[in-house]
Amino acid sequence: MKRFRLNQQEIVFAVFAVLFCAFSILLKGFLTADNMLTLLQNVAVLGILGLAMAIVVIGRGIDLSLIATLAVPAGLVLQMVQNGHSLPASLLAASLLSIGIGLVNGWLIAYAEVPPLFATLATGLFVAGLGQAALFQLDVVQWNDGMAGFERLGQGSILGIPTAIVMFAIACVVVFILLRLTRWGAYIYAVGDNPFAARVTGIPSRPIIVLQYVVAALIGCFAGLVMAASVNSMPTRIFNSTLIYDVILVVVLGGIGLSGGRGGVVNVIIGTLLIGTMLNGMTILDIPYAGQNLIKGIVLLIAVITDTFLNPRNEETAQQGDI
Amino acid sequence: MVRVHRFAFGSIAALTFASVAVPALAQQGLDEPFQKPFREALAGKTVAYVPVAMNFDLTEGWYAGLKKELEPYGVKFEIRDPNWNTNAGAQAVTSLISEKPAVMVIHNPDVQTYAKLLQRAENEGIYVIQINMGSAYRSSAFVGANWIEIGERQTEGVIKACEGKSNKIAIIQGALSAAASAYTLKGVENVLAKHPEIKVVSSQAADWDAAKAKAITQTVLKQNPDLCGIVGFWDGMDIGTAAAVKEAGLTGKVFLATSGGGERKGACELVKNGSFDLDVSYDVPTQAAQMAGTIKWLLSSGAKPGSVKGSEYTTLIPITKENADSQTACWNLSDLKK
Amino acid sequence: MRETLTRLRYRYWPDHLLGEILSKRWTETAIPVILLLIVGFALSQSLEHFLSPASLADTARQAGEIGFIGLGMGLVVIVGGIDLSVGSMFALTDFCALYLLDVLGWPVPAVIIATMVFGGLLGAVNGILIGYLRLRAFITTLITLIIYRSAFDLLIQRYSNAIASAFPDIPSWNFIGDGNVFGIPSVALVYIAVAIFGHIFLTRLRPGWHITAIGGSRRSAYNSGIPVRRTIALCYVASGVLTSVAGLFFAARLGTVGGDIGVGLEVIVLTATVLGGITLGGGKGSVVKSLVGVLVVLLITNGLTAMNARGGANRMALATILLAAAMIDIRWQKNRTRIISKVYVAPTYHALPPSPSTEIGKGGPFEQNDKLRDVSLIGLGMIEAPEDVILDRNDVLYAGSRHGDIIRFFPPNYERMEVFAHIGGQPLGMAFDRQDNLYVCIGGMGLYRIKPDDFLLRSDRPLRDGRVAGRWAGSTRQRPHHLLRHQDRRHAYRAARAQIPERRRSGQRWAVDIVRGDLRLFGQTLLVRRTEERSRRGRDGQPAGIS
Repeated sequence: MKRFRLNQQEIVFAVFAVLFCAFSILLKGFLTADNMLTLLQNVAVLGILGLAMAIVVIGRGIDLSLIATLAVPAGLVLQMVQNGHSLPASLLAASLLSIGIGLVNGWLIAYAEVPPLFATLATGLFVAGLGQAALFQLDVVQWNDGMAGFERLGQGSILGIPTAIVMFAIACVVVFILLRLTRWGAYIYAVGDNPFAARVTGIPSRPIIVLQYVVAALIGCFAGLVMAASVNSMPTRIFNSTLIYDVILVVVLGGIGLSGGRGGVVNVIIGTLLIGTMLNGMTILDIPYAGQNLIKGIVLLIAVITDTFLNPRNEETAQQGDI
Repeated sequence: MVRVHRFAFGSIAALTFASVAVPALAQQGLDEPFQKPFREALAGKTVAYVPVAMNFDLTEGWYAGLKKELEPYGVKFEIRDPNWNTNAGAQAVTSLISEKPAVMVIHNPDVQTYAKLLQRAENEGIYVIQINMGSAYRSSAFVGANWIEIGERQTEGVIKACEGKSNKIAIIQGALSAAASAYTLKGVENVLAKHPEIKVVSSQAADWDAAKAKAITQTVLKQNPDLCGIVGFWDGMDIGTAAAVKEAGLTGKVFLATSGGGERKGACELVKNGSFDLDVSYDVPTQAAQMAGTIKWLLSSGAKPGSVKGSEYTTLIPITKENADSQTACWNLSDLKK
Repeated sequence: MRETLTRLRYRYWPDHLLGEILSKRWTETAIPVILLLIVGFALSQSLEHFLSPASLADTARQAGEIGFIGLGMGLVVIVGGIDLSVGSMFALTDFCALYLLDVLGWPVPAVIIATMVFGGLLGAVNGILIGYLRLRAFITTLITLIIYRSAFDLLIQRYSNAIASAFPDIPSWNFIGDGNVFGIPSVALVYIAVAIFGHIFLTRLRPGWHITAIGGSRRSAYNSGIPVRRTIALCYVASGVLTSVAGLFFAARLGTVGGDIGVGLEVIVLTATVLGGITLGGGKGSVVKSLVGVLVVLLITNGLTAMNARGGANRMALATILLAAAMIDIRWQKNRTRIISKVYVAPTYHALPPSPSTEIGKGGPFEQNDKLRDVSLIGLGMIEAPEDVILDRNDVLYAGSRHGDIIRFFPPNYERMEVFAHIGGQPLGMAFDRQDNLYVCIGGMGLYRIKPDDFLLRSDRPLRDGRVAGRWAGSTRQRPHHLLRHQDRRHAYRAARAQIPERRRSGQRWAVDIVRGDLRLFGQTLLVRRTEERSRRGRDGQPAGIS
């Protein structure tokens, strides 16, 4: 009899399904189309960030500077428009800044061989400091009339679906094409699975690593623009929050292991759906914020423990450094 | 005989003129005896400023205002910026105590962390002025907003706008553990106790984060489309709340009351364009001026630090559509820095 | 002058000593220590009060607290994991200590013990999940971070007012928080004691070796019989206990349960750990590395704050210093052995006399000899590997070749050549005697004598070595193809069959031409001789039709 195996992706999906059904039955107003859209909209930005992190994690890295990449380039756009520059020029400046961040990250990790955790931590700190010191006057950069029309990137709806969700869907499609349909995506998987073998077979592993971080930074910038458009400002203080842990949770819980080489867009979507459902349900239940976090943590812990019971860590193939 | 009188009269007149003229020619000003000790009391003294963080409207405004008032008198004005890190702030205060400035201006992140340190500071002869967020230890002076009053005013505004409507309101708190948030909540509760017909459908903390505030508000609005008012605890965060209200198309139907420092771009403009319906401002330039005045008074009085204590609660400026356009309701950071 | 300096440098510079020092294990920490010294020096120059006892005591106090957490994190990283929940554990144990002291009113020793037990329990949750259930460390401690932080938030909502209003004035508690012993803060003393014990534990005691072994390779450690799961779980428990100690000292110092205690602390401690040189992945690390990392990070953050730097500049400077230090450290770790091997070589210096001239015409002993410039070449391309050459009485030049032939070149031009004898092997040295016999040393075969006109080969008794009579080691080398023709071999074989016992070795047919005195391989010798000897046919009685 074939043993019924679930991998982590499926376990998380099962948990999500259970929660979803429970909330639909027990909560009035959960299973309405409006609420579903609200649910997705609340986590759309988190999902876009999860896509960026997923690319990097598949390549066996990690990117803790994503929050800085979300906040600072988008804030730069707002600040420049506030100071009188034109919108296209500001967008160009922001893209160049985020490409620069990605290049620095990639160079440090691929060529200077600094561990990714450390390197991206330091770059994120640097970029946040740069924004605080040189780019922004106040840490909440306000909207202004020069940005008129841009808020459609995050507010309003397209064909009845809130724009933020559409942006998330666009990002999903782009990342899917990159990862599954292009050669570079295959290289990213190869580099993440076994970097030494990849290099020996002739894959340009170091430029691929740089590519990962540049793409992640660009997606982070895009997420920042969507967020700025949706709340009509850029609260750069978000760097101090623990949002980065939520992003990592979305990615890892969805099934993309931190040791790289596995996973895809579907995993990010599943992780996002789980967290979104939990948050939405708990807000409807009016559970206080600290209680929400506690419940979120416990549910995630149960999911991870279940996964370990069903898929014990294989000591033979576990690599050193596989924390 | 008449000639003598005339002569006498003339000579007396001449003498009188002479006696008046002589002092008038060598007239000297009167020395005001108190301004010299005042200048000596202030010159060369160090005032250290420890905010929660720089780079936001409140702390930048206080900094600019204090600098403008104190530096002309030769006061050295220093900053220690812990950048939202409580531990770093405690460390900064500790090292300041050993450096012994004349005055410390402290913006507390919570009620307890600095309490013992401030007590120690005043025992060692440093005046301590606390701004806007106080600690458990009351020091020489407290200048700041009365958070309970802010909560009360906001709730009263919301309740008045809710008259005749659904009587459902939502509360978007700041961070649960922040003293300002907790005090404001108390003020809200004070007023709600008097109005039992008002129902609070949601009271969540958004952690001072605009995106979270937007998410919470969206969910609440979807569940309660007939919501009549929202009480938000900080205008920097309630931009998100306003965006959610706008997306639901309910701007003008949901009364959003918030509070903040009153900077033009963050407060008056947003009230003007309808994002906020009421923004209770604690008027940062006035607070800075009050602090400067207190410092001048304390330094020139020579009182022993800790021997005299007092409080200065700020007069709040409620900004609504009526006065959002006026010159005095809000302030510009750029003007303050000049 | 330059020479004197060079001589002094090579004579007296202690290369060997330097190499010895660099080979020591503790020089792995060289870069962080140098960075610490630079930072300390820079701060002492720019801040007047930096080196004052009060300020140093303050720094030591804060360093002690974070140092405890750094020790715990270092232990966990060495064993191959990571602990992201230290910040939340710090907050929770801080709360626990203050709650027990202020709200429940327990005596100080009980508070200390209870808090440490509580910290151990928090760590044990991590330990069981990661050690026994074998969850992944990163994600597990991330989740426990969230759980513990939310538990802390809920608890302080209820109790923070009660704690805030209490001002306990117990002397022992105050000593823990603010006390000094001869100017050294109490925290620092306890930290030094624990650090010394920790160092001995990691480097000299068996459990410490077990920890390093597990970090190096979990599978191998398991196979060696080390109780892997238990050790890993205990490491996390130790991390919890050490964090609770830090929380105790913090609670005594500030007495606060503010909302953002410990937020971001795990990042600072992780930065300090990695900066000090304890690599994520495990197996390497020490107490000193942890301490140095903590001191560097602390000094930089506090120093920049005290220098009136705004928050943004503070962060940028910290990030730049961290990155620079990390890059230099990685280069140092990678190249350390290479540098050592270069430094270790300690040549001495010896001044050589001026070199003699080699120019032509100067007549010195090293004068370039171009006497062979205009020679004409003999046998270029026609003979392979002539190991020795010799001239006979008639100026005929004899040389061996790799194919086992003795080839001779005829004067006066030495352009005409013929195979004089074919022996096999590799002819090496040759010599003539007075009777014109050619003696040849054949590599691998022995000493052979070739009479000028009489046949000779190695006969019954060897001349020199002990080879068995009659055994010829035939050459197994490949013949040039154009010199070998099968038909000729067959003919020669039939014709010469009667002549002598032939030896077969590797299929080669050998015959001895008794008359001629050659030992030849069929076909080849004949063929070569054919061109030369057509004119001499008939004289030596070659079988007809052979050539």
